[in-house]
Amino acid sequence: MSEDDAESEADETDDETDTTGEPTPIGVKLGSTRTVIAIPEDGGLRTIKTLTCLATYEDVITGEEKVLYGEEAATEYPDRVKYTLRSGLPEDEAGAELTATFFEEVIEANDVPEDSAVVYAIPTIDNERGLENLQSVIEGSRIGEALIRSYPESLCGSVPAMGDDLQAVDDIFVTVNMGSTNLEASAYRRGEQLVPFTTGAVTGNEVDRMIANYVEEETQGRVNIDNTTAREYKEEHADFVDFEPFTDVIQQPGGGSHEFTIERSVMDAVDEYVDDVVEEIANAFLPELANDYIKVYKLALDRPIVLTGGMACIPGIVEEFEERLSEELQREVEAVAPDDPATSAAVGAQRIAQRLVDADAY
Amino acid sequence: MAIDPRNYDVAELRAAGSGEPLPRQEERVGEDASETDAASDAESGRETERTARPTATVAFETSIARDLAALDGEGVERPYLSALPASLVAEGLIFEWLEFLSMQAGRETVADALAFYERVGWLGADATEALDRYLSGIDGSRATEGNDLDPDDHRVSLHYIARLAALSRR
Repeated sequence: MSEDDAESEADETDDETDTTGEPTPIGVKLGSTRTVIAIPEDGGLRTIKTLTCLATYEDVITGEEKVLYGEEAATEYPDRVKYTLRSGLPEDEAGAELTATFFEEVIEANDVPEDSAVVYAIPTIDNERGLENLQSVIEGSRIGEALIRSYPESLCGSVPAMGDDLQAVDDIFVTVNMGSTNLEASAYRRGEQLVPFTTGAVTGNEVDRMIANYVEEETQGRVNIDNTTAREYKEEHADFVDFEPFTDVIQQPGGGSHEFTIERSVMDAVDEYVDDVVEEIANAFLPELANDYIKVYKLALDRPIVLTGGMACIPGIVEEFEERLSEELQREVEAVAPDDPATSAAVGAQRIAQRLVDADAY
Repeated sequence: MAIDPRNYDVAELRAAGSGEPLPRQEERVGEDASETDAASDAESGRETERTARPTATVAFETSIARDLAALDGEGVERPYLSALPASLVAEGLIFEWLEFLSMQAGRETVADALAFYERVGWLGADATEALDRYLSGIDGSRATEGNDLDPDDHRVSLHYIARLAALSRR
């Protein structure tokens, strides 16, 4: 079965489970690109990271249908791999079934305990049907016997950025979640979400498409890459601090190979992305916040804006956002990101789950 | 179970954040999870006009000006707020305002600001004295580091003073 990127962060948590008879507090982010599960283990946190995708194949000996998920599925069966949450939520029953299969495989392969209190970090998308489908996935899952809660992904993702505990729940701040399928912004006032803002126009997936188009342009049409390859280029090479041109090789249809160098395509795409994010935040989200919540607007802009989500992993993007938003707003603003934006939503959800268990909320 | 992240229980989250014990799940069946913020924040209505100035700044100032205009009228004289009105809504506003100022600049700076508001005729002596007493009960530990009150903060203060004065006139 798939080998996940599971790692322990020994200094992350002070949980005590198992011997106390309490349910295990677990944080889950079912993301459109990656799913992350944070589980307490040996005084630290075990984080399971896997691509949210699966592929099926027939066992040549038994004839049984087998399921692969995550990186293994994407690598071994690129022709039939399915990303089950491509648009952020399961769009239909078939998507919900695929997601449920994927989730159960991950749970099974990683021994995620059933006697658990599970907090899900979920994007704030106005999509009732998608939420209903996701709810069926969550309700059908074996984990979360003791308690199930969901909180906005942007809140969960901000928790690790604002301290070692749940300081985010007792503070006033603005957060921007730079995800694959949506750009979300919200203000939080002591845990209460204010002016949730979501747009599907500025996304990590769109950056992947732009990179694919720019690579074609940069190579004068000699190289066509798919969006998965474009995402890999972005994740491996995008860097506002220290970008270096890189080379890759493609196999030609008629045989032989073609080596090419990418100098501009990746950084042009992420550069435009940051401009678009700043435009949305400065001219759509913040004016709405200022209009409705003057005190929160004033307080939140004098404090660091928290950036979360997969796109926040790009080195230097926090500083770029800070600089460009300051210029747009004609005032200094500060931005911060959690140490690992890709896992912060699950880690934050796990901390909330831990505190709910401590508070006997189950 | 409702997994819509927009409908989470804010009270439960805050209690978990503060480490307070919560009643068991079965004891809370039927409780209304929603919370409304009755005392604060103006009505919606979006500023779409684009100018050379940042849109968010324009929206902020427009929002303040709109609220102040609505609260202005005949009979307004200095000090705008001679004494604090006695009402539950007013108490809520007072804590919200002083907490805002304290988070921006710390309690000592807020005390100076209240004295300044008295000097310029926004507050009467009785109101300032009462606000100083309230201030001692505000937690100043979460003040934004190295920040001071700027003209926009004072605009927000004027907004609160106007709302309290309007309550006094009722």
